[in-house]
Amino acid sequence: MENPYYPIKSVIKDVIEETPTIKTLVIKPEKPMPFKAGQFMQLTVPGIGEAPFTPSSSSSRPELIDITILKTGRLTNYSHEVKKGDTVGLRGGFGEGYPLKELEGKEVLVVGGGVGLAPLRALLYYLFDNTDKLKRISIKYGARTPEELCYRREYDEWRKIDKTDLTVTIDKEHPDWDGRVGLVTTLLDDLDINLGNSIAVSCGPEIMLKFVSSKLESVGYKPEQIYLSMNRRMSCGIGKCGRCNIGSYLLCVDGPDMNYAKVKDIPGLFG
Amino acid sequence: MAGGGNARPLMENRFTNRFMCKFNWGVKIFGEVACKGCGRCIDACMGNIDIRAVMKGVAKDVQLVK
Repeated sequence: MENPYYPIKSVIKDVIEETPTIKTLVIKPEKPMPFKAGQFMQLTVPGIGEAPFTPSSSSSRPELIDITILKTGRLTNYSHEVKKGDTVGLRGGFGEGYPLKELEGKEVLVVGGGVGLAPLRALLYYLFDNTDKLKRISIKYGARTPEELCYRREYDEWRKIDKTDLTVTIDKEHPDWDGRVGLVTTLLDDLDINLGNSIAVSCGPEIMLKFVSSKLESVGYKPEQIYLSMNRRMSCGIGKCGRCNIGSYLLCVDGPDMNYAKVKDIPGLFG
Repeated sequence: MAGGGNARPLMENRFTNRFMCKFNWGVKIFGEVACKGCGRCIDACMGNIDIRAVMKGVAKDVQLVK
């Protein structure tokens, strides 16, 4: 049997600087690593350790994987120092990923915050490939400042795609910004979506998920229609260690994208 | 957790997680109790928490509810 803990040797093909604190590593694994949108992978930085990240590239090209990393801790600091040509390890994809079957024929509302757009980008690429099966794709995205907007270079492209709309907001007024100002939840006040036939998918900091989920409930979404990307520090990826439990659910097996109805009553869900 | 989050910020969250993980969720996920009964946690506990006493207390409360 193949050892699930054995990382596949991979080479950094490119490093893209998204924002001052966010970098995208373009990684070429030694052998193709198929994954579903929303599934996560364990990235090994040699000598440092491994941490879970969700690929932000399209699952239809598993030979080149984009991983977007926010500089926030020990391993992410080191992963910001890797250069083109360096070797890292990858193992995955683990988890259920996004409920792609359920999205068919629906109006999909995608709510992202900060670097939370990274896993959603994998979903968006899947949705863009399958626009004929969907009613609509509505993207709401918020970040702290204009510099911290992730994938800013791609927004115009996304807006041009059939049935797609994108609204971007930043938290506070900024001299270089003439768009909307306010937290991402303010974008949910004036939704023109047929709520009965819609699914909302959200990813971002836990505190944002907390307010987004309660906001979505208050505008009329049922908990079953809300999916939250609860990406925590998954460790083994195969449901053995119990590091990532939320109640009796293990995020690495049942998630990382959980139906809000399943987890909403668990005490201390958002910390 | 990244972004400064803490999945279980309160002591009661962590305490509950320990016992629920061993005796409730462990049974649900793996089909068996996740405590072997070796007793090392009782010896090692600096807070003097006896897992047997906690479970007896829980059992008593469960009976009271019934």
